Amino acid sequence: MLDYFIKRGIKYFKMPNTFINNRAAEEISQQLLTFDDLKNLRELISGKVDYYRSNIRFFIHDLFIFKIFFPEKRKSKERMEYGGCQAGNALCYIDQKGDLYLCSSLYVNLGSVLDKDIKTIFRSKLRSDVRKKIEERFAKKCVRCLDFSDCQGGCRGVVYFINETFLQPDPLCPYGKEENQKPKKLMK
Amino acid sequence: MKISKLDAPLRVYWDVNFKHSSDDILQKEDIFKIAGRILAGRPFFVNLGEDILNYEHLNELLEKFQDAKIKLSLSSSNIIKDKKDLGFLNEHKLDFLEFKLNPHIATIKRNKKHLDKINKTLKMYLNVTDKVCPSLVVTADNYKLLP
Repeated sequence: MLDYFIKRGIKYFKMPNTFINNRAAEEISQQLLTFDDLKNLRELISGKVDYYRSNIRFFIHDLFIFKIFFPEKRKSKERMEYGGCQAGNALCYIDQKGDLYLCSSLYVNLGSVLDKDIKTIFRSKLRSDVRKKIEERFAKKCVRCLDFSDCQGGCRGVVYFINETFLQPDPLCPYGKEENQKPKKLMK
Repeated sequence: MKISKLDAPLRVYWDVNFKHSSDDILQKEDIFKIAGRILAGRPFFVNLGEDILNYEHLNELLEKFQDAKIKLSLSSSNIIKDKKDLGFLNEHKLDFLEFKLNPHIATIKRNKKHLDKINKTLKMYLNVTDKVCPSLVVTADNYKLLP
């Protein structure tokens, strides 16, 4: 696909987070990437990353996919605009009916923009409650992980969609699976 | 992670739809009411995603956002058949024009001729972006279905 775009002179390629919203759960599940998909992608583009990067400018929303294309930028601060999940903080999504969600990947309806202005919606208790959960509730293994300050839990919308709680790792995290070795914070 | 701020500049993704034949879809006055509230909500970037084009209304909407001097991006998944159909964009200065590939993937898999249409569309979009905005972005979020 990337070769196809380069051949046709496309210079920008955007890979947004998975659109969750109100689509059928089964349909969304089929589209969600797994850690194995990521491994396949890494193998598929192996040896061609520099070629793609010199021909296409990427906008990659997912941190773990980003790291495949930009492996040298190991810390999130080297990645433009990444400061952890910004759903309902520095971004929001408005659907065709005018309902405002924290993000297109986090299906929490904060109310209709037709009924209230955005500032009022942002001052709501529901928004601050969900934001608090996004910022404070992480899987124990994430908090203990040395890379936590880097990924900050990954895509919180996908985590919530799969588990109905924020207390799980991002499915694309290399250390999220039980069988994978994970770096732990050194105990003093 | 920083505790949420209420006054942070906002990045707004809005799936606006100008279809008028269905009760589910908003009428023009409601769409413009939402646009007004987005503009009052401290946006620094607005992405307009649309599925069904009504060029006249879209033109008006783009004008409204244009005046606000924010970063503006328009996403389309339509295969616009004619160069003339993209003519309305000449009136506006978009920061990005996006072509959403996702809805077409399944069709491409069923019918290879659809890929030719995508080729033609991308070519046309590239010509337009030369004139009206710096960048054409191809968007794909359904990675698993990509051929």
